[in-house]
Amino acid sequence: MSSILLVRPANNAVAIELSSWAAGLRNLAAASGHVSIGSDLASGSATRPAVDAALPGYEGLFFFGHGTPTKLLGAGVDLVDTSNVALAANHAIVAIACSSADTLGQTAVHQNGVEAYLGFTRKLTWVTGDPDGQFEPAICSGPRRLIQYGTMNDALADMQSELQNVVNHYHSGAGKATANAAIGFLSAFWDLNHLALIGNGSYTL
Amino acid sequence: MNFRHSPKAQRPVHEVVVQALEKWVERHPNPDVPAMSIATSGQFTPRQLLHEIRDRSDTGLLLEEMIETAVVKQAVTLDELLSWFEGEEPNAVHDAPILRQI
Repeated sequence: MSSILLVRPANNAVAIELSSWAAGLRNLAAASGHVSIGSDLASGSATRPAVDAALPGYEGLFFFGHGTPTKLLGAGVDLVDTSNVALAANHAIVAIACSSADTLGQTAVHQNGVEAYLGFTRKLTWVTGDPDGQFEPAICSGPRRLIQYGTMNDALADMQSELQNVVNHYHSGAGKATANAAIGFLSAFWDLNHLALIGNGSYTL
Repeated sequence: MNFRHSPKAQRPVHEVVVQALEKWVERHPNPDVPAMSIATSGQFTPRQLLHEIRDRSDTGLLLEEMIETAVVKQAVTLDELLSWFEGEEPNAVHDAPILRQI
């Protein structure tokens, strides 16, 4: 059975919301029989020493929190950057965070031996609180697919398909009647256009 | 298509977007409750988004780029998108006072 490292710093309101999305993956993993959440570095336990110690031991890292083009961030600390991403060599990284597929993902795969990196090349945006239940299922569809025997290509395809469904929901579906329809549409379309997979798309956990 | 100017109004897109968001804030049931989350930037209420657009802050520029991306990739027309913010049918946008000035 493969094992995943889950990192979700929950260091402010936005990161807390992303952390709550990640929590839903725990039950799915427990039921999958294929992948387990080997370590869940949540809130205060998401420290640089803890991440450094854990990274080599898992087939995949799922990160839910803040990011920049070159870093995945915790509470006032860089949790994953170009100086420690090699600790995830031969494994996969899924970054539900802003911008990290831009530089960190490229560096991880092309210079540090990471098998595959799935993330976003620009800011990750959504309707706060996801009141229409659209963004959490769409964004988490990739990690869910990996937990359920999918490849990285499968995870990318699921996220693309689900984000397109969110676009449609706000463009011409029930979501069009909501006060935040334009924001929902714009966010989903933006996220869809900046989702990126770098590296080995055939990799499975 | 020159996105920098509204195709109907021949006014800078920034101006028509600001106007649309002003109407959005006016009609929004909760203009001071966060409506948009941006990982690494924070949560923004409709009223804050209007200020961000007006000030051309980083978040305002991001929102304008999001609009530009959707329009240039032809996922939606600018008029249609503005009508969602304004809560009006798209054709009504063409008759908005600011557009009649042209």
